[in-house]
Amino acid sequence: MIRPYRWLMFAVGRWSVVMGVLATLIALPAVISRLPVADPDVPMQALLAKVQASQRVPYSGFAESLGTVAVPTSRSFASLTDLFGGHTRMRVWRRGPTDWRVDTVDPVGEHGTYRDAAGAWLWDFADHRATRTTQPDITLPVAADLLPAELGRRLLSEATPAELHRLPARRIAGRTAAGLRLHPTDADATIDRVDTWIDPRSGLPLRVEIWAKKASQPAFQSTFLDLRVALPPAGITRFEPPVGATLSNDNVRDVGQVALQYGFGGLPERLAGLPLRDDAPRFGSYGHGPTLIAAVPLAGEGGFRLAHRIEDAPGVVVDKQDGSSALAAGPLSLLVAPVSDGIWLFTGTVTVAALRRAAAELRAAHR
Amino acid sequence: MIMVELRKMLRRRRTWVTIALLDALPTLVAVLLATTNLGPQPGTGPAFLSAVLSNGNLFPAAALAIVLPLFLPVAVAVVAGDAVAGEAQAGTLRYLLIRPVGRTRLLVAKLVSVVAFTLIAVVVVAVTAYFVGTHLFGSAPLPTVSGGPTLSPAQATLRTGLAILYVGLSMLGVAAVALLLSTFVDSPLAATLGALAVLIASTVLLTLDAAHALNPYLPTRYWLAFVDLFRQPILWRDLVRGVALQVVYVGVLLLAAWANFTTKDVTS
Repeated sequence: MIRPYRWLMFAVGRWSVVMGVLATLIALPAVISRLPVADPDVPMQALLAKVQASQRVPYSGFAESLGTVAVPTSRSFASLTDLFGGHTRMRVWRRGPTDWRVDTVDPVGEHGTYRDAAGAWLWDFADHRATRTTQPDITLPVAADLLPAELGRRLLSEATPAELHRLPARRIAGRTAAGLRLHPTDADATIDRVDTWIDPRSGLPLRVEIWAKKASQPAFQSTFLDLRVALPPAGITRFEPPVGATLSNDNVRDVGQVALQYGFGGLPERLAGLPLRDDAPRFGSYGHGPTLIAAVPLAGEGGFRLAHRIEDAPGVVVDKQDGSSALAAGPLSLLVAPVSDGIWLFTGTVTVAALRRAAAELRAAHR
Repeated sequence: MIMVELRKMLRRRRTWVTIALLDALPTLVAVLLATTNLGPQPGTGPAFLSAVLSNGNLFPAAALAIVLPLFLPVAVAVVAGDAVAGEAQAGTLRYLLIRPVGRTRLLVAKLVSVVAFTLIAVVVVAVTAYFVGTHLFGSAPLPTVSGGPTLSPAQATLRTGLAILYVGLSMLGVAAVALLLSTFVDSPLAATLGALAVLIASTVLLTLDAAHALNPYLPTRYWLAFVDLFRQPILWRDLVRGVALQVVYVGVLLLAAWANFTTKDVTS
């Protein structure tokens, strides 16, 4: 049966409406993301100074990070494996450097860090456990360190205008953000560039992208999806352990804290050409900006487990001469090597060759 | 027309058998947990289930998390897939449209009936879970995912009510897909399986990092966001996006269903 012409037009008209609505909905996000953003009229030096002075800016918001760095899986490194090799969603309320709360939210649970002047509460919903630590700053990187505002400020904290140049502005978390690109100049650096977009009013970095050399996508990125620059209410950063929760005290949470307990011995002023950092407390970290080396003695059972894990990881290169095992995971290099009568972990955003030099220099210093 | 469809849905034995089967799974889980005292390890299994052993008040939320990934969408897809295709398969669609009833009105009435079924199913699951949970595991103030003080009874009731509504709303996208397919085919089974295929595809894509850019548009992306109602303070971001996404899916798919149904030759 042949349809009457009017009926056909009727059908075409109705389907055209459907297709029009569908096309509009599909195109809308792409069109909005391509709308031009006016570059904020802030000189680069002033922008950098604002970032470096943004530590006391109060804010709250929601951020997510995405990493592609395959850190070897280990109990000691579990947090790093998740943070640098996966997708992390965080919400934050920051009233000041020692008064903040960061929740890492997953679909069915939550890990919270509630920082106060005397320490921090760590909350784990899955284990229904609240842990009190009085040494919250001495630890491997945690989610709070990877918020764009904290990570961006840390990476740009030692930058000079000569190392930077401007990037086109972008719209991030509903704000116009000015872009800065930092190129590490060290020959051994594995990071090609760090791109940061900054809220020019508050100086808070809103998005950070870390690119390894010869990479087609960022090794790590962290961005705010929502941001409110205002003082959050006081009660929101305070933690009261819930009734029935398991309570514990713990100041030895990861390999870095174990190492601190055992001590670092004598640390030379330079390793692989990078200067010893004066971060308090004295930690075996060297370098500046995004080019860093950490030298940590692997003490205790956890340390040895970590050493074995790295030695057994796929892609590891074993040097039979000095007994070291090396691994490159994107811009992150790891080396486990004997030094004096112990085993040390060298890791950082430098080449494996630089880590080998660092190990040799430390061996020489300990002789 | 809407009342006719609602009465038809409520009088069908299949409606209540489906809801009873939906209810049976969380009830069975509760009985097994209570008799063995073996909960899932913390951080594993459906949301809240590991904490249910010490607080039965959490079981309504756990029950929703148990039925949400598969059983509830299957039930909704079965009912919605049958809405138009079932009439066509039974040979009653042609006679239904002979009555002075517009096709658009019939479609809206079918949708309202599916929405009502979804809400009834979710409410029955949650209410049954409350009674089963508190009876088997005891009752205690409702904790939040974020730690800190427990919720007051008013807060707990409000948040659980919102979770029930949100889970019901999350099923509307499934209903709309099944209803659209139901206007294209004469077999309810084909429409149901088509809707389930869309769901499975969405679930698979959600697990792929390579499909990260598609995530915000996948129909199942925000289903588990009802858990955010139990954080302190409530995390509204995904809840708002989940509602908006379902509204867009329902709007577009119903528009397509309307364009197809109002212009197709009904021969069966």
